[in-house]
Amino acid sequence: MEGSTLPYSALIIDDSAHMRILLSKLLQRNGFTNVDLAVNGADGLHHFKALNPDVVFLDAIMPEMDGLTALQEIKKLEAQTIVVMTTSLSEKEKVLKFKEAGADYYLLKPFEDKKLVDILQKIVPILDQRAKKV
Amino acid sequence: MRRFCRQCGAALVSICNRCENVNDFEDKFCGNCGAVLTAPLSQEHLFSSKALGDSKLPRQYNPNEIDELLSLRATVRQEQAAAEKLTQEDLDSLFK
Repeated sequence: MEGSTLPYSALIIDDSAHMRILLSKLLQRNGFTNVDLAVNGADGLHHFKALNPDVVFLDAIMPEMDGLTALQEIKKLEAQTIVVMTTSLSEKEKVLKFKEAGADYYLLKPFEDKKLVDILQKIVPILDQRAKKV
Repeated sequence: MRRFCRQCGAALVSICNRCENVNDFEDKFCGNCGAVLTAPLSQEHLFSSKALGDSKLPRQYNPNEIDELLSLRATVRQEQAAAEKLTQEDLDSLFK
């Protein structure tokens, strides 16, 4: 995947500037040229409506609007959008809430680059298939 | 555990800006959410008259508030210890 260019867009919603930069660079390195950034759930929702991205990388604990609320709103707007939770929350009870709300993947912070690539390798074929159907 | 600075009486706890968890003063990362905590100020910084008037300094807590926060922290830690935590492998299985 590294080195190739993908026609898909991604939105990173995270209140940590460090995490936004890190994820953005990793996504770009793995072919995502269209990457948008948002600083919290409310900002993320605003960006989501404007961009309608193929994939959303969503933090859980954020000011103004938390990740769970943002996830619910995103799935209401576009159920097919792939949402990857990127958070340090690992309590089963909380994780299940994200699962119930429609999260597609869960990346536990801190994560290794390879783990993100593993998830992208699952996501890209799904997006490829969807693109063929259109 | 010492709750106040022996020199200036400042609270020796660090509140996470992200999740408001009460952490030990020396902690660099929040024990609840992993956020980076504000670096502890040096004593020199605490004692300077300029610093004392600086609104960016961490909020000072009174003894009752400290007791309440420590009690909350103990409760949160008990709940955290009781909560089942998932590994990335567990999550991968759950989010197939």
